[in-house]
Amino acid sequence: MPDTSSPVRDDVVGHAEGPPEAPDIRLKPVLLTGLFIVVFVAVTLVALRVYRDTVITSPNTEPARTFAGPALQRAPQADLVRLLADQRRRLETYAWVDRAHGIARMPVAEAMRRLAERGAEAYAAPLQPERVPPLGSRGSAASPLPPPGTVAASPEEVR
Amino acid sequence: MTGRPFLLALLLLTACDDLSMSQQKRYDVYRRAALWADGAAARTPPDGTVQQGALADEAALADPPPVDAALLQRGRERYEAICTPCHGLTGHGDGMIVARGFPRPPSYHEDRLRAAPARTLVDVITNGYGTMYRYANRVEPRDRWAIAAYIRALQLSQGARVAELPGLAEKIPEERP
Repeated sequence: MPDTSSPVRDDVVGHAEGPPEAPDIRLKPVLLTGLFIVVFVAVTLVALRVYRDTVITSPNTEPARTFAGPALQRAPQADLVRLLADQRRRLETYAWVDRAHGIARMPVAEAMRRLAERGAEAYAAPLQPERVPPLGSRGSAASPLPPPGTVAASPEEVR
Repeated sequence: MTGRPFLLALLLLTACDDLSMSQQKRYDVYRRAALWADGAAARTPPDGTVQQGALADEAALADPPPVDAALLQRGRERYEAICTPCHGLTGHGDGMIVARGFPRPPSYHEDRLRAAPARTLVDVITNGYGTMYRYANRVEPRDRWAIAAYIRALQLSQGARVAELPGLAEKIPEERP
């Protein structure tokens, strides 16, 4: 008859039961390992930033270039309407062009009326004596009439 | 049955071997020609040849029409239709074509052209000048004079000397300081 008072054997070999497992793990190595990872990543990022700013000079680090847009008319009809409206305003209004020299502009209809009254003299050049421009000549810097846009339009222009 | 004669006619057409239509005895343009002394197929008009209507055009150009309201109105209508794209409505050489990058024509209001005779303006319309091509085949001789007269009106309109034009000073609004 077996001895029932001896300790229970739970395996075939009959090893004795071991000591109980430790109730907790050691926190210090785990924390040290995590801290090392954090410090390593931070140092690596800083080192990469320093390396990129000081060592790398490839075109990838150049600032993005901007290009001028193509000279296209997005609304050609509107541009033409605006241009003609501005020119027609200058064609049909009274205003000083160069007050210091006594030069003004007047509506072309008024100029046509005055010119028609001159008869045969209407073809005469306004600047006398008449001179045939030499062949190939072009432009003149001595004109007393400033080009449009250089003189501010008078807000009191009347028709 | 009509199909059989039609088929026969087609067969007869394919039998044609006459190349006289595709290979004609004539000179091609700009080819050599042994017929004339200079050896060129392209011929020039004989001396003294005059284009039809050229004499009338020449006479109309030589004799300026009298300037009146109707001629100036005609000149304005032709100018705004033909000249405005480059020269602009006021003649400053700022038309829409110039805004798009075409070479800027000179302004009518510079001294050189304010002193130019009207016949010079007509000659430029007739023969062209610089990048401006000739408008002889687009503008009738009388219309060229009408445009020249209207250019005079533009020069008077945009560069009027107030001291020489009575009644003008009163119509000019005062500028705000």
